[in-house]
Order: sequence, then structure tokens, then C-alpha cells
Amino acid sequence: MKAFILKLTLFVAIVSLLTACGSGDDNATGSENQDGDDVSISLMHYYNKELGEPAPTAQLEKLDEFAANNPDVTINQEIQSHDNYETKVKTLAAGDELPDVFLIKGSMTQQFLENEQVMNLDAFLNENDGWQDQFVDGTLTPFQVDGSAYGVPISGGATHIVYYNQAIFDEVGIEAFPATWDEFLAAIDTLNENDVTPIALGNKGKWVLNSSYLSTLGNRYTGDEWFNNILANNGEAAFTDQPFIDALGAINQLADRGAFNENMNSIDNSEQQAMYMNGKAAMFIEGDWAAGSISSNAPEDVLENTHVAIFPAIDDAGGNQNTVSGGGGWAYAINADVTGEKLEAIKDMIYHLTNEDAGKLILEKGQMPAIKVSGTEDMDLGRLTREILELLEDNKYVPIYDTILEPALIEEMNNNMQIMVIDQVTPEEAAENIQKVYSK
Amino acid sequence: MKTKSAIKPRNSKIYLYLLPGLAIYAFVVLVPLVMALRYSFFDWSGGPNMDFIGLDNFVALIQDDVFWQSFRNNLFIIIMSIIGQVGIAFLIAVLLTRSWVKWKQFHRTVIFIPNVLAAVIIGFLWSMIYNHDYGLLNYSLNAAGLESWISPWLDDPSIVMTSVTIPIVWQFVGFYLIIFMSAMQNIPDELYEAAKIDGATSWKQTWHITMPMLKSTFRVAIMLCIAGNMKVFDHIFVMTGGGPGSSSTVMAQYAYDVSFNRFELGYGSAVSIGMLALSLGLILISQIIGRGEKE
Repeated sequence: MKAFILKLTLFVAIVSLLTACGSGDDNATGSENQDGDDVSISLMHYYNKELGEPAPTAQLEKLDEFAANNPDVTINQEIQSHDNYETKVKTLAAGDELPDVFLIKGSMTQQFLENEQVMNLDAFLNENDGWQDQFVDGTLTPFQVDGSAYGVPISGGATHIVYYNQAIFDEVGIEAFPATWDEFLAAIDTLNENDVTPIALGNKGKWVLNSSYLSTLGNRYTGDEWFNNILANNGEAAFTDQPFIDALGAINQLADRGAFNENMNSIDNSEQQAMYMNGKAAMFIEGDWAAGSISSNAPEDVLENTHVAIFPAIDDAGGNQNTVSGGGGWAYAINADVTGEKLEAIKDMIYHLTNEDAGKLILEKGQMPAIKVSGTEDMDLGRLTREILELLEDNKYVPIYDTILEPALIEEMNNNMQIMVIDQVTPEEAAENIQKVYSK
Repeated sequence: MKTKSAIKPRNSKIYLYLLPGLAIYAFVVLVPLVMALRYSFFDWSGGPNMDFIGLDNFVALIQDDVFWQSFRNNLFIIIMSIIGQVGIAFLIAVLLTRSWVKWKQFHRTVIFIPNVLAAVIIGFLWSMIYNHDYGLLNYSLNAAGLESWISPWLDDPSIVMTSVTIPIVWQFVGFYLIIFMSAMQNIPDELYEAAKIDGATSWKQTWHITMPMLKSTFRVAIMLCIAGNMKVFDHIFVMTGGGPGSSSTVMAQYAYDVSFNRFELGYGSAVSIGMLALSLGLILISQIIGRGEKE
């Protein structure tokens, strides 16, 4: 019995200790809120200083600057890793516990809006003179529903850039990057004859073929009209339409020609970069963000010979040919419940993070901002960044499928493309499977 | 009664002691389960909007090819594991009782080590082994002059399931080995001595004494094997992400994909409930078969 009493006492002691800690925390936050009329903003993002990624680093610097200029505003940052961020924000949304400010992807806009969790930003975008018009064409689109904007985009680069190694091209006798699709196919044959993998592809994550290949090729074949009809779901466009099948067919054509490494479905995008950096492949295709990792990680001889291009024009395709998929990646969204003084502080903060000055900083770090930046000629930019900037000037952004279309549809597309490039389904069958999910 | 209270406590006291454990179990298992069951009747994408749609999710589930394909993949892993994990573990356990085997402790430890590694690490390790260009497997085949055997191990839908199952089998052999070894220690030596006097060889002893004495252990091991492999996820998620296409997708991954990639949380819950029902069904079947053998 004595032992029992002893245990009971211990148990009570431990429990009271635990509750004491808990209530201690409560007191701490309570007192924090009490002093003065300070505004505190909760912000969730995935920016990691240690990774040194261009746009996130720029945003962190701008955040510090904002905090220094506004001592009465406290910013409580919750930082997630990039991969966890998406799950976390969706989970918080499911529990209706979103922070004041958070980042959304285009495909989330519709869902968050349906649940009335994001604020309409039309008025905000017009508050600052001409701010709305400063955004690069197509960067706001993913965050718009029925013409109203729900997110302020940060970076707005291309998801399709062909990085190629001129030294390897020279070796096998290709003088310049092919100017037509047929020449491009011929170049792939030439590279194969010389036992060089033409294009390094790491599609284990399943999004590479969609973001960096199909979004660009799709528009080249179908044109803008078709995609708008798909989005409007007005019955005038289907994935079984011949132009879309042709776009899938173009990727299939590359696979049939042996353009890719054999293990394309079991390596990821960082491994495709590694293959290229090791000089094992002549090209790889990814977004403009890859320029950063090439610049900092590639051996000097590879880096020196790396240039950028986009898919050459396709003769028999119906759409515009000087297009590249791109636009907004992530954007700031404001919790629909925020009001009053806090909202004003948040608006100031977001403006500070996404205006032209912020855009300049993002560009300097090596990524394409969503906002137009003037006077780039005088800026000190990396060679690859400048090349990409020049490349994008002549070309128009078209929508990135997987930031706009519904997640279920994207998954079906991604799965079908993965098995299409290993000859498990034909482009026609893949299109039918995609259409089946679309029409559900 | 009162004097015996330390040895034989009152019922109410037993429940009191069980309460913390039960509370935690209820909180992390039972409550989510009931909630998942509830969600499975809704069309829900997260957030406050939920539409009650009755059994529509389950009707869709029964017609969902990918779900049944992932169930077949789970079955494949289970069958391979019963043969591989339980079978190999039993053979090794028998070998380790032989007097001519040296360094028994060492073997046991080495075989058990993969067990303590996280599944994610095993996944990464084996995706490196399977790597087409610099993987250990292709390198060894090359060195042995067997270039024609080199395959895209994780890229060919017809062999990918075998490729992802091998690491799972490899990791858990040690676990069943320990179970069998401890069960074998409970077999009375007299039986073996009697058999020896009768002139039975050691393999005959294994067949006629060890095997029958371990019948109930086998039943437990097979049940653990089924339960464990119905929820297998991490290894395959790391190695292939369920690809190519959905050829190596297992049920747990499908539930995850539906819930957190497509964000159909209602349907995702229905997939989870379907998974639970199928798992219970399989365990029930294995128990019935096991009981039938006993009679």
C-alpha cells in the first residue's frame, strides 16, 4: 500500500508539473499580446536560408528589411521544408487553421476559394498605382478565378528550358541548337550514334514530363483557345482532340528515338541534373530554377559550355511556336478572416515583398521574378540568368498544366505519361485515360 | 482478498492501470478510424465544405481499377514475404541450431541489423543498388560478364514489383528469425534426445519435431506478415513513388495519393476503410486455414 501511495504521489507530481509547463506557455503568449498595440502577423513559408535558392533567399532578405522598417509589426514565421509545405498548408486548410499569410500554388486557388479561406485581392492590387499591370503577362493567371485575383505571385519563370552542352554538340558535329523539330530529332539520332544520352530525364517525381515538356508542347499544338475551353469545361474541347494527342505523340516520338536514359522513371530531377553535370548527357529539360544549381554545382568545363534554348518550332503544329510554359509558381495569399489594422500591415508587407525592388533582388539572385524589372542591362547578372532572361524576352508564357488543372487530372496525366514513354500505352490510349478522368 | 491485493488486484484497479494506454490507443487509432469512416460518406476536399453522398465513394471504390491493382500488388508482396521472410527465417533458425555452424551470435546480429534501419533508409539504399548506371547490382553483373541480365530494375512494369519486394523481404528476415529462435528454445530437449536414440537424422528431427512444435508460431508469424505487408508504404514510396504509372502502387500509397495529391479526402478515407476491410478479411482467412490444419 505504501508503494502505491508513493506512486500516486509521483504521478500527481508529474501531472501537475506537465500542466504547470502548459499553463506557463499560455501565460507567456498572453503577456506578449498585452504590451502595446503591436500587430503580429503569422506567416508560413518554405524559405530556407541554408539552401541558398534564389527567390527564397531574396524573400528572406526583404522580410528582414520589412521587419527592421516596421518595429511595431511582429512577424511570426513558420518555416517548412519545400516538400512538406504543400502537405502542411493543405492540412491546415482542412482543419481551417491557416495562418494570416501563406503561399499557394495556382491549383490550390479554386479549392481554397470554395472553402472561403482566401481573400479577394483585386482592390489591393489596384491600391498601388499601376502595380497590377507591372506583373509579367500570365503570372497572375493561375491565381485568378472568374477574373478576380487571390494571390500575389513572387517568381514567374519558365518551367521549360532546354539546357545543352555545346562542347558535346561540337564533338558529335552539331554546330548550333536545332532550329526545327526535325533537326532536333536528327540531332538526337546523331547523339545516340555517338553513344551520348541525348536528354537526361528524371521523371520519378512524375511532374517533370508534365511541367517541363507537355505544358509547352501542348500549347504549341493546341493553341490558347483549346486550353481555355478545357478550363471552362464547356464541352468544346477534350483531351482526345487530335492536337493534344499529337502533343503527347511528340513526347512519345522522343522516347521512341531513344532520347532519354533508360532509367528515366526511377531517378528524380536532381539526378537528371547530376547526369548532365557529369557530362553523361548532352541536354536536360527543366525550369529556370535549375540554372541556379547548375551555376553553383556544375564542374567548370560543363558550366562554361552550357547554354539555354527552348523546343524548336514544330512545322505541322497549329498553335503559336514562340511559346514557353511559365508564369506564377507560388503566390502570397491572405487568410479571409483577417481584418483591420492587421490587414493593412499585411498588405504593406506583401507589397514590400513583391514590388519591383523585390523583383530586382530575385533577378540578381538568379531567378525570374513575377514583376517586370526595368534596367536589367545595367545589372550584374550571372551569364546563365542573362541568357534565360534574353531567351524569355522573345517568347510568350503559356499556362503550366500542373499548376492550374485539377490535381486528380494532373495525377492521371502524370501516370499515363510515365507509362507512355516506356511503351505501355500509346498516346491515343493515354489521351483517352486522361479524358475519362476529365469528364468524370 | 485484501492481503492478496498486490498479486491479485481488484478489477477496477486493473482498468485504472490500463486507462492511460487505452486512452492513447483510442486517441491515435480508434478515434481517427471512426472519423475516417465518417469522412468516407462525404465528398470532401478539406475545409469546411462537406457534402454527404452516402455510399457513392464505396461504389466508386469497387469499380476503381487502380485500387484493385494496388490490392494485387499487396497480395504479391504478402505471398512473397510468407515464402521469403517466414520461410528463409525458419531455414536460418534451423541452421543456427546446428552444432557445426560457427559464430552464431555474429550471424544472428548481422541478419537482424536491417530491422533497426528506417524503411526510408532501406529504400534509398536499394534504389542505389538498383541504379542503372552506377548501381551495385548492374556493376556486379557487368563484372561477372552477365551484361545481358542487366535490366532497368525499377523502370520495367513487369519486374518492378519483384524489385521492390526483395528489400522488404531482406529487411524483415531477422525479425522472424528471432521469433523462431526463441520459439525453438521452448521445445524440450528430451524430444530430440529420444529422436537421436531412435536414429533420426537432424533433418528428420527438424521435419518431425521442430516443424510440428512451431505450428502456432508459424500461425502468428504469418499473421504478422499479412498485417505488416498490408500497410507497407515507405520502401516503395522512396524507391519508385508507385511508378511507373501505378504499376508498383500499394494500397497505402494509393490512399495517400488520393488524399494528399488529388485532395479527395472523402474518397481517400473510403480507400483506407477498404484497405482495413481487406486486411481483416485476409487475416481471418489465414486464421481459419490455420485452425483447419490443427484438426
